[in-house]
Amino acid sequence: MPLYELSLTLRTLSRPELIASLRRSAETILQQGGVLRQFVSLGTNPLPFKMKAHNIWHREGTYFVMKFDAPSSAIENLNDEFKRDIDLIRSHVVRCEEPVKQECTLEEEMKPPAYRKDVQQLIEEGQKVIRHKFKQNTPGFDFYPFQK
Amino acid sequence: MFENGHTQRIDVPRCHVNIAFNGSDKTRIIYMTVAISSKHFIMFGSSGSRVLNVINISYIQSRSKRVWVRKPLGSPMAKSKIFRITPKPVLPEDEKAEIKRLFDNYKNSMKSIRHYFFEQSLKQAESGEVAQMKHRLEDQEHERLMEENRLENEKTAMLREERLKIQAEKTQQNVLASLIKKEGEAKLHEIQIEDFLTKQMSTPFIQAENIEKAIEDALANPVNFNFALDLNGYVYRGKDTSIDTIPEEKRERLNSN
Repeated sequence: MPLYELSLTLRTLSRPELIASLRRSAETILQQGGVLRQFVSLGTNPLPFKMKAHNIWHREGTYFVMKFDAPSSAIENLNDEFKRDIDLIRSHVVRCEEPVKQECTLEEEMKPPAYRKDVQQLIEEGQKVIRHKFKQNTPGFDFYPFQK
Repeated sequence: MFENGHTQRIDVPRCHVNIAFNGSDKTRIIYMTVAISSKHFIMFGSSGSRVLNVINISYIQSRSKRVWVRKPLGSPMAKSKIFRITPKPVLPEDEKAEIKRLFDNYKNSMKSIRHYFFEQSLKQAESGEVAQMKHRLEDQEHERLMEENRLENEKTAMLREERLKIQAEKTQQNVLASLIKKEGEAKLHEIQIEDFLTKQMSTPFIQAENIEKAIEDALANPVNFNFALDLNGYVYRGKDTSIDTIPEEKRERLNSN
């Protein structure tokens, strides 16, 4: 079961209503055979633009994130459920992947070009003399098939 | 020999000779093919593709007597003989039957005689001194060859046995190695599974009874993922955080993973 992240945008609700709504979404995940991992609230913020959901225009929303494990076949059902929930303005399920490990090379990059390793390599490559080798127009053979 | 132009006499029997001579028209050269043999003396004249008159001299002077020799192949039937139909020879039926009987008799008897002699000759060839000698030699040769074959077979059998033994040992070793490898792989796989399971178990998960509490906790502690970076590598959390409000000692440093 891969790890998924569900980001919800709810309409402005009173606290008990909000909890009930979130609970409903969490229970649908459980019903689909999922395992809840983590809840993160991002607070109530103005939306980036006015959105219409279930025939009502919204300018403010409560952002909430749920992390859960679920079989990949369940995601379609979940999306279907969340689409029909009138408390939700937007919902989106994303698969979480392991973060790519990268080394910081800022120090190297801040050096002047002549001191950078990759530039030095390029210069070395450029200094190599490429001798033109005669190429026989015989694809697939390593010999000249006709009489010379 | 020829009426017009030059004539040339050639004394070459039994051969074909080309003779060139000038005809009455002096600009034209006519080639004559002359077939000379003891019996035939026939001439054809040709100029280009046109065949000229066939000069039929089918008589040979022999002891002051003209002897008839065959007409040339292309010459037509004599005009007086064109409509002559030679009557077919008619044999009476009984005569025909008699001839057939005689011929059959002859044929059959000849056949049986030939067959008899052939059999006789075969028998002689089998029972003669030379034939027996030949048979003996052949038998000896056969025995010798059989013995040689047996020895060769024994040799190859020995070699095969050795080879098979080595092969069997090798396959046994291979199988053992593969078994050991497989076992190791299975163990590794088990370890991996256990690792995965422990990792999964170690990450906390929210049970059905605790959902409400977890939601309340989350709502009580809202998170803001916004942050800013400066050139010195300091991190400023939050969207509306003022840099000046945080003293330099308390500033967060970016950790590269």
